[in-house]
Amino acid sequence: MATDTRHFGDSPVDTDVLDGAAEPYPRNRLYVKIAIALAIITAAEVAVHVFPDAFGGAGSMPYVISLLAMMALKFFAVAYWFMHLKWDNKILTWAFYTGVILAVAVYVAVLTVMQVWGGMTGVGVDPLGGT
Amino acid sequence: MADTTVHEVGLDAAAPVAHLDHDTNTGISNTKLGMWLFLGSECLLFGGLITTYLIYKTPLSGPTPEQIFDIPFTSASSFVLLMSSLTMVLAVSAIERGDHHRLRVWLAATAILGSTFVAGQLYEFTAFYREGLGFTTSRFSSAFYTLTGFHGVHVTIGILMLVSLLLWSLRGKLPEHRSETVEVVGLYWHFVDIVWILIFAVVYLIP
Repeated sequence: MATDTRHFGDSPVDTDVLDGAAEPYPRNRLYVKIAIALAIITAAEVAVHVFPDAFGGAGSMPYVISLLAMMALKFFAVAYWFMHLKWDNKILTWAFYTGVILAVAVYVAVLTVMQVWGGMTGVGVDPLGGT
Repeated sequence: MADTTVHEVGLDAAAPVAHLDHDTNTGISNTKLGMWLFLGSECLLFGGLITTYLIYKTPLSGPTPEQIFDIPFTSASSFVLLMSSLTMVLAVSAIERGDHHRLRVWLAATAILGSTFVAGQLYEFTAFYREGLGFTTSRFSSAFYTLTGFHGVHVTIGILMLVSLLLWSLRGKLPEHRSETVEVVGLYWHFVDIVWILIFAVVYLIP
């Protein structure tokens, strides 16, 4: 007879009902906490945009770096907790981050060749013509 | 690699059972591993589109990004999509616990939040068009509409998958031993969310 593996309520979910998980999935309250943190970070991003002078002005290096840092934090938080990379088999982490690292490497190289970095801080050149 | 399913061993679709061990080299189902590999390849697609936008974002004619972007509106849309990731992960958690009522509630909530985001994007596109920013107005407009349009199509496909899951669940065709199906759709949905996290910062907030 099959085992009843239902887990009503807010207890961790055992690995016997999960697919490819190395550890039990967490309680729902952790997801809610992560979502609140993500909402706060999003508010902080908007605050940086609304008050750029506090970060050296729109387009300055501190402004851009602070926004990119918060963006990266949100990206990895969703992948790590919501997409369960924290608890799943590590081969899935490798499968995903291979694509991420490859994309970042290739396109940073392209943007560097196109001299876009200076343009983000307002001092670069326009490498392409057209409209 | 063979992938053992409950159907092959003749289990009752409605019976609450544990996942069977997958007879694969990795111990992970091919479906889940395939979705992760697909998402890894999608990074290259969206990376290319974002890179193209960064190269072409300075228009030589027509409206500039600073003139047309409505940051408060887009911030609200971003918040909606972010919260849809929460409802999605709660849906996955619900089916893994065998709670079908909450599964349907969270799937419906995710689909509604996703639809709200897409509706907001359509409104934004319409507003931009009325302000003189057509697809071929400038290199900026082409790159912007292509990037955000591709993302919008991905969200729309995600909504269709969510509605399909909801219908399956209502018809009793989504027992908890098929929770992997919900989880795989959830992975796609979360990916769509993290792509928007990148677009929101790089396209809208960084001048």
